[in-house]
Amino acid sequence: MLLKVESLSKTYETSSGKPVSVLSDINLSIDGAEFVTIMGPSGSGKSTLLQLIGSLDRPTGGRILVNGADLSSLDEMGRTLFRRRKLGFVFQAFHLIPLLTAEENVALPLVLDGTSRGKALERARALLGGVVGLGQRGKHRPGQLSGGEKQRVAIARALIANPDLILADEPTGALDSATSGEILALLKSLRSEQGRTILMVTHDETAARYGTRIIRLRDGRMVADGKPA
Amino acid sequence: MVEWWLTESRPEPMIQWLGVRNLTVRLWRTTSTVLGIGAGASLFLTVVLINQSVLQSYRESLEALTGRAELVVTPDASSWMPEELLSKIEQVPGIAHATPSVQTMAKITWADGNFARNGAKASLITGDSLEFLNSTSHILLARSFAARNGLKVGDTVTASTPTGAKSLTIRGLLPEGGMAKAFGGALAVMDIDAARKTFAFDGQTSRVDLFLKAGTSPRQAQARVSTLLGASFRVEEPAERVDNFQNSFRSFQALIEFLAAVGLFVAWVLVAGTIHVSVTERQGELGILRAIGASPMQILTMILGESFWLGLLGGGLALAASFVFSHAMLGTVVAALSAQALLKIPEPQLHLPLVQAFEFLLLTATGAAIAGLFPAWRATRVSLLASIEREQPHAAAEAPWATLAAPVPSLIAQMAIQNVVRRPSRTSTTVGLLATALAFVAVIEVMTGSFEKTLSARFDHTLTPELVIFGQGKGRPDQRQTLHEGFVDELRGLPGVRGAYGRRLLPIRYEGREISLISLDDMGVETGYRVLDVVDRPREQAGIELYSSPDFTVLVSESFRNHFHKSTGDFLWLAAPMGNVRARVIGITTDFSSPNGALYTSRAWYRKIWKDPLLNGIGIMVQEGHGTTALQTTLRSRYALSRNVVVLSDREYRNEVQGIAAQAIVYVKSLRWAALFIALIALFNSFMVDIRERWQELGLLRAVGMSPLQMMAMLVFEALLKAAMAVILGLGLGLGVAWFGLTNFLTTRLGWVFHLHFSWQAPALCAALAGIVSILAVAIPAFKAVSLEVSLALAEL
Ligand SMILES: Nc1ncnc2c1ncn2[C@@H]1O[C@H](COP(=O)(O)OP(=O)(O)OP(=O)(O)O)[C@@H](O)[C@H]1O
Ligand SMILES: [Mg+2]
Repeated sequence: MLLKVESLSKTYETSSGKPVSVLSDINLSIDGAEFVTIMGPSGSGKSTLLQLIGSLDRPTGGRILVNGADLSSLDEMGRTLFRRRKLGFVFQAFHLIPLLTAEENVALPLVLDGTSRGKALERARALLGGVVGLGQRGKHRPGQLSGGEKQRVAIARALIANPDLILADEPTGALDSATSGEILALLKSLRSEQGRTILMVTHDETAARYGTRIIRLRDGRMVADGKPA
Repeated sequence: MVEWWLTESRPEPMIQWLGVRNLTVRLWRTTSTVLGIGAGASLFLTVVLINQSVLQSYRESLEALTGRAELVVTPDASSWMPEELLSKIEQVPGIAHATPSVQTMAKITWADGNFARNGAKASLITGDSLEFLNSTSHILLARSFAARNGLKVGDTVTASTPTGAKSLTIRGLLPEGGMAKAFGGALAVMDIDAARKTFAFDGQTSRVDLFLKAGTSPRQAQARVSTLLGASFRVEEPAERVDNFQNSFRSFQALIEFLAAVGLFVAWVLVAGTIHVSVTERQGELGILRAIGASPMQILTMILGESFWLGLLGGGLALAASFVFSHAMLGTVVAALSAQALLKIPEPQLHLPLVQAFEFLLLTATGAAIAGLFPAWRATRVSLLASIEREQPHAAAEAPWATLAAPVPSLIAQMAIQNVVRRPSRTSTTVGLLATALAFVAVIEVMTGSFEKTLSARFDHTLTPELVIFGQGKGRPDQRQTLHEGFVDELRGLPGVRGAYGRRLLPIRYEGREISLISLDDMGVETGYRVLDVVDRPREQAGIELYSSPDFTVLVSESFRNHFHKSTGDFLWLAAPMGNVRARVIGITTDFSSPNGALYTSRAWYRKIWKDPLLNGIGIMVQEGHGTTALQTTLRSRYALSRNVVVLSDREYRNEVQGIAAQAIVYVKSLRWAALFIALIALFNSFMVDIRERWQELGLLRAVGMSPLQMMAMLVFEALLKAAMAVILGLGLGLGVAWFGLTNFLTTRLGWVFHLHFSWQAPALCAALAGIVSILAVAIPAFKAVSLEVSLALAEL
């Protein structure tokens, strides 16, 4: 079992003093090489769930186990290493570092982990030229790339450390339908050809069909878990 | 199960290159940050540079004057020592020879074509045994001074002396270097007996230079001569002597040091604020770095490294800038210090040793890194989600005081107020930056105001004579040409003069520190003895006791009481030329002539004990029915030239003294412009970031129909709201610091008692400056905001 979520809950303290329950009692098991999509109305807690699994935030209750290791038992450095070595993030707003060129952006996670810059850039170039198909754009800054191109760079960045799990929060939310299709096909191939596990939040039923499994949330609870229609 | 990714440890690589990239790519932002840091650091360095250079120049002057003597003997108790002591000193074993000299200040004038021109404002004439100059009217001048003023051997100059103007002939020029270096060359040398005659030092010596036989150590000789002469004389090595001399402008130094310390703090806060702003701006980017696996340590070191570089660049800029600033201010400072110190200080060369420049760079860089510590630490702790995904914290919208905005009628004003209250952290940064600079302005304003007010209040209730007469010269009475007491008798006999009263200020030593001994002629009980300014008992009573007691009585100044803990009823021992005398303290008075303290006594007693016929000033009371102006005109026409004196009305005198005080303060006041300049840059940064952060929001407002003018009005109104908050905060802070400075720092360092004076001027000035600075700072950011492409701004959504 790659990922196991056990009775996970998240409550926010608001300034008025009333706690707001955003997620409650989420149980979930995900095996290797699955492409899971998470759907649900706005405010149902999809992003929150993804962020908890990505250890960007700490749950109020329950556990998250990755390969059997409990995330909540990790200290700050452990969580950092988890994100650095085991996870790839893809965001709706791309979130590339504007200072760096496309290939530098892609290389960054490796550089952070101690790989020499030359080696990391070499890997980044290979990745950009290979799976994501952006070979000629490596020297461009994010500001000079289109939305679809930016998202490809972001996906390459998520892949470079060779992670088991890729978390994507509405990766096509800012793209037109043709570009969305390309990005989704790319994600799909990552699972089918490289055997990676993908957890993707989306609003789009068509997008959800690229996945192997759909989880639905409503008001912070899981209401469905099954194969796409 | 333990995972490889947790256990496999590699050394954490630093990502300094990313920080450096941030600096090189965002050049514009880097420039403005460096400018802010540079301005802050130069505020501090300018003060240091000026102080150091001026002190160095002063020291060199004194050293040049001290010459090559191995020991210098000066009387401890008065300006002179009896001549017969000299032969006794020469008999001390180990002494090769002893050279006596007298020193005084005199103004020299000379005819330049048809014009009488003022030459050296205060030249120093030192008498020495110079056989070939054995005429009473021959002098030597420094070659540089003569060249500068077009004087040559054989020319005649006129010197003012206690008994009137005297003609002196230049018989030779002193070579460059050595003694001619003193006071920028503004000195003349003449034979000692001639000097004694010309300047009324009958049989006196003000200094003896000792040269030792080979094999005698200065320490040994010092001990022997000290034993011989007893406590009334000081035997010092030249270096010690220079140190002691420097005490004479401790007062000014202390004020400057206090302000430099405050300035350093202000500079640092502004630097810290600037860095804080630049880190806050990148919160989102730092969040992304954390999300893709950057560790807190990596972020921390990256930001510290960045701050360090910014500090280094800012320090380099400050180094250059402070040379420019110092250069521009040097003239003023030298004038102010010359008025404070007893002697004219030659304009110094600005000089900063390499090691010190290096230290300064390191200090700025480290200071900046420390300033970056807090924002860097916050950046590592900030909730990743908040920084990545959310534009604004959720809670902000519900801030309870947000409703405060409701009653304001204008929508624009309402939105501006909303922005100010809704974003407390940004508001507090901006307000804090401006408030710090304003506090500095307020400190300077209140402290200098209190200085001036205390001084003028003192005049109001002590100035008694209608006219005052001084010798030529500028500055404090004790720096002018002295007058002879015979002059007072002459004045008393003139029609229209009801009374003439002499005043003498003699620097003496008490418990190793230089204090002023001030003696005054009795002005009579009918004046109420206002001039004595006694603070602890009725003045009249104290005056009667001072002038008619059968024993030697003195008043002590507040500063003296604070330093030496002697007050009314106590006794103190003073070293006088004929041995120690006991004085009874009969009251406390206010006096600012020496930071260590002053003693007031009757001139009758002073004359008896110190045998000194000289005066520093004469006060004249005009006979009833006789016009003051008429008498002033008469005295002027009679004595201005023949005795080389100035005759001032009480008002003129007052203006002159206050002018000197104002001159000393100009330097201090100019520091506040530096502080405001830094604040301007810091605020500009802050507003720029603020507007960047609200890019989309502003674009949206434009999209829904806000006109550029309305947006401009909103942003300016916001800036003014923050300025108003900063004024309140800055004034409160400034008053507190000024109060502390006056009542604690200056009183304990100097012993002077100043009264905190607060007028509407400080708040008015602060408010006006805050308004101007914030409008200037917001102008460009606001212009950028209104001219932004709406579509572009929204595209970033
Ligand atoms: N820091 C916070 N404090 C308080 N409430 C929060 C905080 N973060 C999120 N929430 C609330 O938690 C709920 C779930 O948010 P989340 O972002 O997970 O929703 P979502 O399903 O991703 O919605 P969307 O489809 O609009 O992205 C929302 O109601 C949100 O307002
Ligand atoms: Mg979401």
